[in-house]
Amino acid sequence: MRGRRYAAACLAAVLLPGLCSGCAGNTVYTQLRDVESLELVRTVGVDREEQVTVTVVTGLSAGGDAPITLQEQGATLAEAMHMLEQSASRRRPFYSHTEYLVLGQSAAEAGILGYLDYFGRMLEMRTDTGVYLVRDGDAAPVLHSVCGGKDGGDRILAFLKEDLPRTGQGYVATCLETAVSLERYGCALVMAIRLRPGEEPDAVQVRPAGFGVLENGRLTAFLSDAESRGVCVLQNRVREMALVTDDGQGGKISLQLGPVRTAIVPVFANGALVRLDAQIRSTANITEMASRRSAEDPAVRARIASQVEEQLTKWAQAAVDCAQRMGLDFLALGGAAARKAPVRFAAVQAAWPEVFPKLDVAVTAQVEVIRSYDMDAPLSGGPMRRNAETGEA
Amino acid sequence: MRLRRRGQDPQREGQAPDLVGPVSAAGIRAAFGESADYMERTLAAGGGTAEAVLCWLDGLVSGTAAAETLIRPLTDPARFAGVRSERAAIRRVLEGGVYAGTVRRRGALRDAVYDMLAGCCALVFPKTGAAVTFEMKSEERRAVTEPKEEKVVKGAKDAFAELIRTNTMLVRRRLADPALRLRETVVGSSSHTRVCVLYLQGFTNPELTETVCERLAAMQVRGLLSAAALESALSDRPRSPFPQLLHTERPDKFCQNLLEGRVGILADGLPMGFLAPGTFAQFFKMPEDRANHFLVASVLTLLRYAALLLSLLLPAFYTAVAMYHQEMLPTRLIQTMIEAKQSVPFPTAVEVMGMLAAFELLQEAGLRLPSPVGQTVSVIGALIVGQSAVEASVVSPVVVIVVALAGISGYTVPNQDMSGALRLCRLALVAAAVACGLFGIVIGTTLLLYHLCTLESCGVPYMTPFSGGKGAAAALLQMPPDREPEADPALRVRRKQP
Repeated sequence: MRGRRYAAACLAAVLLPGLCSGCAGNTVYTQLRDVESLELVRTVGVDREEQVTVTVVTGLSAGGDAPITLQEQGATLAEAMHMLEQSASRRRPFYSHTEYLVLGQSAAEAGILGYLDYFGRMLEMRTDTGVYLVRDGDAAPVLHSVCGGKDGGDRILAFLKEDLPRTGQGYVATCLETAVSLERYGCALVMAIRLRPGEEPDAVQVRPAGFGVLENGRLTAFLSDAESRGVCVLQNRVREMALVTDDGQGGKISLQLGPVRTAIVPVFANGALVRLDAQIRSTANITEMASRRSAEDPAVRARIASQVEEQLTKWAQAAVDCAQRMGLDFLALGGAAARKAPVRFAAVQAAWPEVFPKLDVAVTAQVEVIRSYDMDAPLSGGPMRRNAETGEA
Repeated sequence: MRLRRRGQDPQREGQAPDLVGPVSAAGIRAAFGESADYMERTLAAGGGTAEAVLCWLDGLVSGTAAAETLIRPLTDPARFAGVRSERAAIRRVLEGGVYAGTVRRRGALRDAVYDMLAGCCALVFPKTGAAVTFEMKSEERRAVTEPKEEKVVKGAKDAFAELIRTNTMLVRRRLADPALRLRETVVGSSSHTRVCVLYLQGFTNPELTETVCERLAAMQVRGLLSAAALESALSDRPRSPFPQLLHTERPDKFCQNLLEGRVGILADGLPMGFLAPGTFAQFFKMPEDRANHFLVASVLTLLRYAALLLSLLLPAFYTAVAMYHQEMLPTRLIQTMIEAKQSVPFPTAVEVMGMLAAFELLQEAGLRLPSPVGQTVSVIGALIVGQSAVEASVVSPVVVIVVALAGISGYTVPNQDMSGALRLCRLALVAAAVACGLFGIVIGTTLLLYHLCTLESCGVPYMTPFSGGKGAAAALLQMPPDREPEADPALRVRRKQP
């Protein structure tokens, strides 16, 4: 009996590697590649004119060597990628550590569904790869000038990705998010960037340039800065944001907004969806007061709160108006409403593309003004205030 | 004194000594043949009333002590006054005519010969065909010294020695309990090694004791000269590389395990005690755990298990990731790995296997050489050769780190037998990783777990308590003294039905 068990175990040990290692020919053995034979690709750029141009850039090596840039063209993306593999003389490009996919405007206008599908089926590529769109330009110049630079472009794009939620100007969607949004809502937002000349000669900078709107996989429009900020506000993508308001007497007050949270509440009447309430909440921290007025003054606080609420409402309303004008729910308001009232929303789910453009969306904002560490009085350089009760400094 | 080294030597003629029949000086002489250490002397006991032959094995018996305690009183006529026959002389000897602690009357040649082999003198009375044996063991023995392998800071500093009585004494001193039972048996058709089974009557599971005794009785070996023979006989699966019998050179650890309900085994000539059953968790316990604060001991025990995983899986995991699953690593780490591997001429598989082999070589060299030289070899090997190999780009620094980390982690396993088994498994897992990457590791680990789960030690599942039942927490952690279970719950023996 024991012998049989061992025989079964040995047989399983021999068979399992073959059975468990994959299917349809993609066995583990086809993945055999020694680590030193790989060239880690960090950024992939895709352009389309007459042919598809693929540009890939490696990251900085551990030894600090400059990134390597490779570029090939082909009738299709697959052909260009295949030629790229063949042209790599030293080592084989390895895409599992690709951080960003940069799409040229021409490629996006032609349609990116095929590219997303190709990268989605590519075993090496990860679905959390961020997608950038180059506004008014191609991806190749960005990869050559920014990513292929000695500073390592993936780092610059990474800094941008980190900074965007802090400034409220946008966010970088992943390949998966973009594909899911296109599949589910027929539209998606992709963060656009733009190349600008830098301060030094031959230097270039990358700046955020609003969201690009993809409809059925094709780029149809770009959102303005206000609309992009509104998208971030409505999709809870703002972690913090700097704002400047005035005190009504010529002074300026700098604020740091905390996380902005928006609740989408569907309002039903007699079983019909009559309105969507977008309730925005946030806190505003006074960071600097170039004003003669005191932060303790309730009137000043009320004015600050009112201005911030007005600004947030304006941005959000601009984004809603744009979405309704285009007839595309790229704000995913339908999804938010469905999560809030799944049973009642099911009745309008099918007709949502027709309902959404005409729906009343009421945006309200509520902001609480606070001051760090409860230091209500600004530093004046004068004698310290004394505690009213104890008299201590 | 007349020393005889003559007579027929049956072994020289290809025959085993025949020990059948009544005891006689000639029979004893024939049994030992021309052994250089066989001595005999004819005495006129009691002033000539009875002639007797005193036989002994030089070295086992102290000649000086024999002269003082046996020959002198035997040849003293005053002590044998009134003795007229050999029977009377034998009676006088048995009643205290000579100074000896243990005196036995033997009629059979076999009994007399084996008494002599156990360190007795035999006084043979030719006319009556009887002998009296006196325990007269030589005091030549190694002193009780400090443990060499199981050193502790807070704990006893004595270790088992080669003589079984010394070892039972060390146990008795710690467990002054009349319930401590010692069942002795002789193992080995040639070595006649005394093996002692120790347990606490009324506390240790009697089935466990019987199992151990039965297996000892069933041992069919010519000589019990090494621990491996005993372990092989008492193990349920002797072909498994995993130790199924706990061994220790520390009497305090031995006694602690007896108190937990285990059965102890001591063998003459082996400076260590064995404990049955040996379960997997038991091999990761240290006697010092009880000397430390329970929180400290718990963290250290968990650390040992973490080190076990590291030692077992790290080289295999590195190999799998470097060869198949590069996407699993953080980008910065894989960039460092690629950079380090750039100028190394060997593929990862050869590199890792080679480094593991080199590590084993260094370890063996360090063990076999005398201590100061061994340390030098280790230092030269680890520092100079390792660094030179990295600088010469023969191996990548990452592989050196991985293998060294796995090796150092392996040293935290308190038991050397378990450590050796893990080293074997580590190599096998690396081979599996080379063949099939992470799939290979998963399959290898599954087979390893399967093997461990099918093992039993004296009827107790080897993976107890992890394989079920209570006590997993107690195995992984050190309980506070007031919450420690009296007996190890793992020792509820589940005997196999025939």
